[in-house]
Amino acid sequence: MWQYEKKLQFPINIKHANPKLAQLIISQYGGPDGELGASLRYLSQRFSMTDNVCKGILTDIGTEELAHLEMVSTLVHQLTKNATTKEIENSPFAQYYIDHGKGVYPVAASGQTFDAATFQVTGDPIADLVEDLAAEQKARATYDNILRLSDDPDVNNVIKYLRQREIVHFQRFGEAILTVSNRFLIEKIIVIKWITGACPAHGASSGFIVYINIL
Amino acid sequence: MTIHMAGRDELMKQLMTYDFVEKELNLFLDTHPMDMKALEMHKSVAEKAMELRAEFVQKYGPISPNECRSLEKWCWIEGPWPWEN
Repeated sequence: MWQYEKKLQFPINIKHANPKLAQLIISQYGGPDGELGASLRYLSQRFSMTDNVCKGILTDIGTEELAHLEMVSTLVHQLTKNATTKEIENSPFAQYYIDHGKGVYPVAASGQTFDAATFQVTGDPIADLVEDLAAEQKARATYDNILRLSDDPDVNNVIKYLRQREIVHFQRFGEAILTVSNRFLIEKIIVIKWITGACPAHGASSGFIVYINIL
Repeated sequence: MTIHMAGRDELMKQLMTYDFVEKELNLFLDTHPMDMKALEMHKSVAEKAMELRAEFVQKYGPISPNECRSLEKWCWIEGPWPWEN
């Protein structure tokens, strides 16, 4: 079960209202590669994992994503709280404002509401973990896009932190795949080919890709 | 079921019971923050829950990752997980 903690994972103190930027950042709340989908993806996938490393990492990253969800919604809240009607009227946030006011609602920057179709649970550990690697990179790319369009240092510090967490999660998921595939290697007949990067046991690299051929 | 697991399950059931009462009082107090009787109950139930939790963690392992204190091995990922029976 879960307990709420009355603190953010990273401090957020936005000084200037910016409804236009809020309308972009909200994608990481309810968009296709956002924190809500990330959390639900990992917390749903863990039931069909076959070993404790994967159950543990999906539980813990899925939980951390909930903390990130709170950070993204805090950004949206602080960027809109003191926005004037004039500022809202002249920004792309106006359409969102008509439906949701200054509330925080899970939608993508494009206006599409949150949809569980943005992620999968196959019941297959390798398939799910490979999706998780891609998910972390897609979220990282979304944060990069936000950084290109934002010039508020108070916002960017938070976005850079969240972006860095995606990279750490990617690294941990890569190691979790190795746990599963190494076990299969011993028990079954699977060949693993390293095409880039290095094995964590002999000096870790953050960008390894594993190809698995079932003979 | 082994005696070891029976003891574990019994202690966990007690902890779950106290945690549930604590949660129920938590919700009640959110809307009745000055209710003295509920405040007293919450205090005693929360203390009992904390004791049971410490006993469980010491005997059977962590409930939360911040309770892993071993310097030999990270025991957090060891099963059983709550969805496994």
